[in-house]
Amino acid sequence: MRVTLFSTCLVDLFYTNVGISTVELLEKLGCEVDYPKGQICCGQPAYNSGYKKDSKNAMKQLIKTFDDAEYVVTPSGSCALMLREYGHIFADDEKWADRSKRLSDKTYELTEFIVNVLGIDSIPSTLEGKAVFHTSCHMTRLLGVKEEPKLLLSNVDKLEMKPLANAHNCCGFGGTFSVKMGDISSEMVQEKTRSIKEANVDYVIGADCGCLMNIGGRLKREKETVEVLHIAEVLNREMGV
Amino acid sequence: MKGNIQNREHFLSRFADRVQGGVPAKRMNQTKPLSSIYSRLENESIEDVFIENAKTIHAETIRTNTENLTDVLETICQHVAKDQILSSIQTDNEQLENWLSQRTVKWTPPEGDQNIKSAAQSRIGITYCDIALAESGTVVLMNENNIGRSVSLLPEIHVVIIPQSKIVPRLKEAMTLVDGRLNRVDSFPTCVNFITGPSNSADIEFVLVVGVHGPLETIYVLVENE
Amino acid sequence: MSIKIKEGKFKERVTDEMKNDFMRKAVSGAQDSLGNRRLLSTDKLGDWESWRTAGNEIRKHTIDNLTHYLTMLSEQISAKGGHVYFAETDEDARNYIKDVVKKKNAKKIVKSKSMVTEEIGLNAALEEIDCEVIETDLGEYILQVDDHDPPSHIVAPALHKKKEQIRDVFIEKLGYDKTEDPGELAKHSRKMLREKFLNAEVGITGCNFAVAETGTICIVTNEGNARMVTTIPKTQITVMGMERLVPSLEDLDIMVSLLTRAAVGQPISSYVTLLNGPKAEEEVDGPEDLHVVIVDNGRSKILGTEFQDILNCIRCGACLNVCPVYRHIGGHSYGSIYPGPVGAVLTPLLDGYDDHKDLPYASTLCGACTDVCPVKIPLHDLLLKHRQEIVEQGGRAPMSEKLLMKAFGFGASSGGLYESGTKIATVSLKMLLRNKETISNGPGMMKEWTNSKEFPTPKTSRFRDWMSKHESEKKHDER
Repeated sequence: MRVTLFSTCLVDLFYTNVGISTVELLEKLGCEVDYPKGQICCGQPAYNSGYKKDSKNAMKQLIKTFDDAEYVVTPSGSCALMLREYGHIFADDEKWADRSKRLSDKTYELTEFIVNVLGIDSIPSTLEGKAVFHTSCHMTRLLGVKEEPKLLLSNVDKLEMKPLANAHNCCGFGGTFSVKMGDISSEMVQEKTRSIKEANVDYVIGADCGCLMNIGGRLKREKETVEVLHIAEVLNREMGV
Repeated sequence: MKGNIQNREHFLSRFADRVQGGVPAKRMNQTKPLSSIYSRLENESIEDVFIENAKTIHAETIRTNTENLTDVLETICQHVAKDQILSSIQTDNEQLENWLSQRTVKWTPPEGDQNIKSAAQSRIGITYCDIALAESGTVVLMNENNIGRSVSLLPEIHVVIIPQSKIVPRLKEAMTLVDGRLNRVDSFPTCVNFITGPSNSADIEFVLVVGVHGPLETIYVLVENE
Repeated sequence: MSIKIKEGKFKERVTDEMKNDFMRKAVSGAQDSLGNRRLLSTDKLGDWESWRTAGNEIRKHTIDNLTHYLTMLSEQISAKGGHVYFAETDEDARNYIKDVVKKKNAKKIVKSKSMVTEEIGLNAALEEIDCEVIETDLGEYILQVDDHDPPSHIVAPALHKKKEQIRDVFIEKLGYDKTEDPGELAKHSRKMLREKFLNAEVGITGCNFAVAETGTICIVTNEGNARMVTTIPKTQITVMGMERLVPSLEDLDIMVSLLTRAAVGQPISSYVTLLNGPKAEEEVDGPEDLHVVIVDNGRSKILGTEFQDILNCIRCGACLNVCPVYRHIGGHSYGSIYPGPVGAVLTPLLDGYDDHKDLPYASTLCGACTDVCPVKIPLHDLLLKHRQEIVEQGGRAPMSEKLLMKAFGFGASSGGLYESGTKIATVSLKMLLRNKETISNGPGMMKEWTNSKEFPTPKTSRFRDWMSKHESEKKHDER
């Protein structure tokens, strides 16, 4: 199966391990992964700040880049959501309407792809310890991918998933919100790290690098030893390692 | 006598082009949501469900029949000794009528505002209800036949006589009945109250307090054969 | 009071409010408690998504046909003996109500909770003509006694007040001599307000839902104060936003069922009162005269725009109860009588962007509000639409941001530019940061982040560099 990877700008610049894990994981699951270099950014930062016109330039670049893809898979719930919106955003644009809808229809978040397209709900990786899963808002509420990550994590060997108090509350990232409304974002993430600390775990696992950057950034400032992992990194671990 | 309508035409003309014109077809609700009460009532009696839900809103239910009704009322009223009891009930039941005449001050329209003062001075207000809702332990009072609104509002304790046959599953059935009453040309209730337990508020630090403006206590008397 | 409750800048208000530990604890406690109750009650009802869909259909249909239903409503109220006044502006509404009160020579007025009367500044206008206007909702009463402290929540307006604060105000202003126990405070309020009710000449109410087919005014409370206000005074004035109606009693069932569960997790409130005209002639209690004032005050401007869905709102407050931003900044930060997500959408529409352009940005677009809204208003989408409006209206977005976004649009549209740009950036940053894993003290806007969090250092070797190597290794292996 040919899969085209959309790494996302956060992965490209800050979280190379997540990109590497995603590619290795998909290859292990029998996929051929290609990576068109023209890809840059889904346009979210500008779009969600209200800059529709400017963000469309970024979006068109992505639509062009992924024209030939069969499946576009991305390790980011919020970026997958953004691509799913392209069909609506360009609906009235004669030139881009079809192409954008095609991209929307073939885009998947990573765990969604593994469980619902590849039909795999168990990957024999190992991670010893206790963890909480951070449910990112865009992925769960808006993209509707709720059970897939939990299903996959439940089958990871030696891993004990614990509940996270007030998991439904946003971590405070919200893209540009984290710098435009830094004070509020800070209070929100502090409540999140308090809940994580109360859970007494070794790892916090998530599926969106934005959230992980936010939560991880705060945990690091607090000098906490809880390790922050992307679900791709967890699923890509060798058995027994 | 009809009331005045002022400034309607100009008001509506300002946005007439932004809404639909003309008369929409009488709309049947496309989506008809279900309540779990109906499946519950397949296995339990409606009065049992009513009593259970009344309990959760702090309304105590005493079960009786027409014969023993006045005894039950007497027992309730004994708890308040010499305090005034007000009633607003129209009934064919002679025994009940006699008890009310002897034991209570009656809501008497010709006495006008004096009735309201009387309600404010009464410890107990006794009324019937027109409908009761199993889903929430609610009683519905309509003020036709000059049933005073204040009787169920001003006294500290509200005693409601509920004919068992008047219990319906939920708001849906009650609204259909109310609709029927309101569409009558000759007379209609000017006030329909859905009352669910004593009055309460959580406005102070989210702590529930009971009896803020309305009654502090509600007592249901369920008459099984009415 | 009008729609705006505080002057000054949003960010300054937020800084102040976030220092208020009591308010923050009160709000998060209320959110957690109401959230649980809401879920329990909607689970118990069953089929909640269908209820929401039905609610959305009813409200959408009503607003789409607003002219028809407002006409029907006014005809029905009039047929039952009530008067109807259509008020285009807040001033029109205030003047009509003042006229009614003056004609009755009335001075003593009691009010049940009504957001729209706060919006139009009614109390101050009546006080100007020497009327005593008493708020009878316990929360609103407390705020009024405490020098008109503005409300911080749609359903629990005094959420930000400590019981000790309330006790002290009651001692100072109401001859109170007991403790801060909420039961005792409420008992004293009952006594004070009972006397006001019994002597009031005019009762003013809001309206949760008006029913067009029957001319019914439906008021939903837990306290019973709306019943008091509509039972004892001889004149009743009901003020309603022009969008607060439904076609039939069958629709009212669905709306009330949604409202009380979404708002406070109850299957129904203690009192749901349906008022049909003034009292009949032979009746003793109830108003002799009923006036219904239907208020526009900017709502009709929203019709036919992409924001029209906000007119479906039934003021349940559920969106406030789930908003993770409201949780920390509280109601007063919004500077409007309508706080939270609904306030952030509605306030700029009714009162313009000048004073309120920060509100749509006070959100991570997490979607919790949209998810919970009992009538399916796409609140977070509307916040995004506001942001688009603000940007498109020119002068409103900061110039630095506009330039940044233009650069982004340019940079992100060219693969080559991105390639070289990021390569240069990552290498130079690495040199500056000398192998530090994270940035603790960022420049400019990054300070907003690094004030409380570490920011990761960009890797010199980007993922795409690894990928290129990986792809060529694979090709090599295949040969």
